[in-house]
Amino acid sequence: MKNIKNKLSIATCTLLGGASQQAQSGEAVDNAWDLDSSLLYYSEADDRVSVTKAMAFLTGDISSEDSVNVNLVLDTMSGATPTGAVRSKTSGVSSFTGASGASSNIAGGASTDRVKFSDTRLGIALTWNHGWDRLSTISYGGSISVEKDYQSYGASINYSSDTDDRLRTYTMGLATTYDIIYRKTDGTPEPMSNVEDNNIFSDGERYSYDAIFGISQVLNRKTVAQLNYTISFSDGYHTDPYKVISLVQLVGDTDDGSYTFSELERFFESRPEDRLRHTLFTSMAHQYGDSGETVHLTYRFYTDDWGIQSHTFDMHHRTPLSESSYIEPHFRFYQQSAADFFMHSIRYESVNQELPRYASADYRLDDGTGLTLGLEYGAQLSGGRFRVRFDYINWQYEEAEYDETKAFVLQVSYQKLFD
Amino acid sequence: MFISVKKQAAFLLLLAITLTSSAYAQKAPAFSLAGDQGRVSLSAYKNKVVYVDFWASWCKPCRKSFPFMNAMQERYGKNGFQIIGINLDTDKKDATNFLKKNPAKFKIAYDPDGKTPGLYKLKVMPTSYLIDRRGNLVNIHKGFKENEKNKIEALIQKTLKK
Amino acid sequence: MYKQLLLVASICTALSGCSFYNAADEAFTMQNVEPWQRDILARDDMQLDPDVMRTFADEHIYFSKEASTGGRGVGGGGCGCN
Repeated sequence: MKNIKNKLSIATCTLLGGASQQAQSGEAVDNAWDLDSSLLYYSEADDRVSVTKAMAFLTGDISSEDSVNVNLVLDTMSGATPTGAVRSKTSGVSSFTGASGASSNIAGGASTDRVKFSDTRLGIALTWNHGWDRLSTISYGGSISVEKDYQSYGASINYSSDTDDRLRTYTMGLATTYDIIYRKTDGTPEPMSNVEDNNIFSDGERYSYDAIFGISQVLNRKTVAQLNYTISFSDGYHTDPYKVISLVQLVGDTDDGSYTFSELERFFESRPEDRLRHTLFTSMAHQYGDSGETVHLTYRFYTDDWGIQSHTFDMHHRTPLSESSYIEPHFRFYQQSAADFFMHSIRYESVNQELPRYASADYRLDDGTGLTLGLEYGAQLSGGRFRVRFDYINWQYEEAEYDETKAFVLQVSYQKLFD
Repeated sequence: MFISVKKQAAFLLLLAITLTSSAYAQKAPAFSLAGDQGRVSLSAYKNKVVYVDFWASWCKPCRKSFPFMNAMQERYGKNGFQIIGINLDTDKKDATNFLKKNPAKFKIAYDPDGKTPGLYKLKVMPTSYLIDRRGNLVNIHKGFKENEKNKIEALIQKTLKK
Repeated sequence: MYKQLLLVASICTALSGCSFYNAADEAFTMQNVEPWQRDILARDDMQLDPDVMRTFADEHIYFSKEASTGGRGVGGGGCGCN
């Protein structure tokens, strides 16, 4: 049983409310230990980013009222990523050597639009879930994530409570995160400074605070639905220390579109020092048909004070192939509007032109859409659960220099149940 | 006038006491369900202490409670103790499969239409109802946790002594 | 973007073709569910998040490629993803 799942729900940045799904199905605490392990490979076309992700999630009861989750994640990342600069006419990717393929050399003013990188991330999260009383659970979580150029420390507390008929669950959660951001070899560059100047500040720091309020409800024998509202505020360094933006002059005919960008100078990007986000998340699970097909739908509305709004629609549809195996297509559509300070590049106006206070050419802050098509196969084996999935993702952006990202995801997972 | 008020008050008090005590000594609702060998009826266990447990194959803590119930039946059966496990699976096949993996040493009754749990006002799966020798409900236990076993056993012992 | 919207529209049309409305009606009709009628709701694949590990991985992927994130819950950790 997915006892682990329910508990992990509280543990990780996943759903609240799932925490007491088990209660909703009229059950008390299960004593089983449960280990879920997974290997994931993510790869972008055109030799962009590739990531290998190994995960192990362990859950177990330590008493009738208490359970713990231990989540371990190890990521190995490498490839080349757009810097935000306009495409150089000469070569595509600059090649840097060094112990870790450090990308700090862009501070030297290399005329490239992509930069190679490689990194390793280790993430550990611990959660302790405690049955407060017959109907409610409180969870305390702590997490650490370390990379060569990033550190993140988080703490969270989540509370969920069922109504007496266990058809409805209210959830509330608070979380805080402290992030330290720097470049592999030095601190963070001065925002909007010329790359040539190599003005380096100390490490960037960011504090984030999140609050979530959720409700989940059994609608009928075959449907359960959920609604969450999340508000997040973050304060501190939000800039990407590797990203740059070009000062350009248009060369050619702007009327018929046959022009190119000629890069004059290059600056480090600059983002606001705080961000306020609101998220509305809805989700439902429904079973239908004689063969027990299930459909999972989620819709998310997101808005923040950087001017970004987004809509995310996600659907998984599971069809049993036999008593113990299934096939599950996946469909996801995402659409976002650009951040107010997103720009492809800064246009040259005059020698003494004033630079904008905030500017980023990071394609991820552009107007864009993302489309995912995937397929999963799962099988129940004796004592465990196996599944393999393949997803193809295509992102398209309106203005960014790199206006398309194509990627695939391959994930193999095995869940072992210790009864 | 005053006397009549006192009389009325006394009557009401008496009525209240009668009602409360009768509510306290609530009779366990009768049932007669299909079993593995013939019907299983509560009325057949008069003068016995009966432990009625509602369970289903999909309910995980129900499975956890089976070894405990087997132990209780073996330990106290000779003292006039009977466990009746009322299965609430809509498909009997699921119950049969479950019982193959988790054999029961007590009586099993099948209620695929879910008529009995309504009579017992069942709120949680599993829930057990302890019924004394006079047919009165003496305890309702919601859910099943390992650390509650001793408490339930003590109640069984106490009820058997009554 | 328009190419993708077109694809979405065609998928929606296909969905509505297969008696989508009946399914929606069945899904959203509120009914009381007694404790002993929760066999379907107790199934692994009927949990709101049926695969926490997959969700965790997906959230990480989309977080590192899109401007918005979160919604399911709070906690966990950040990363400096490219």
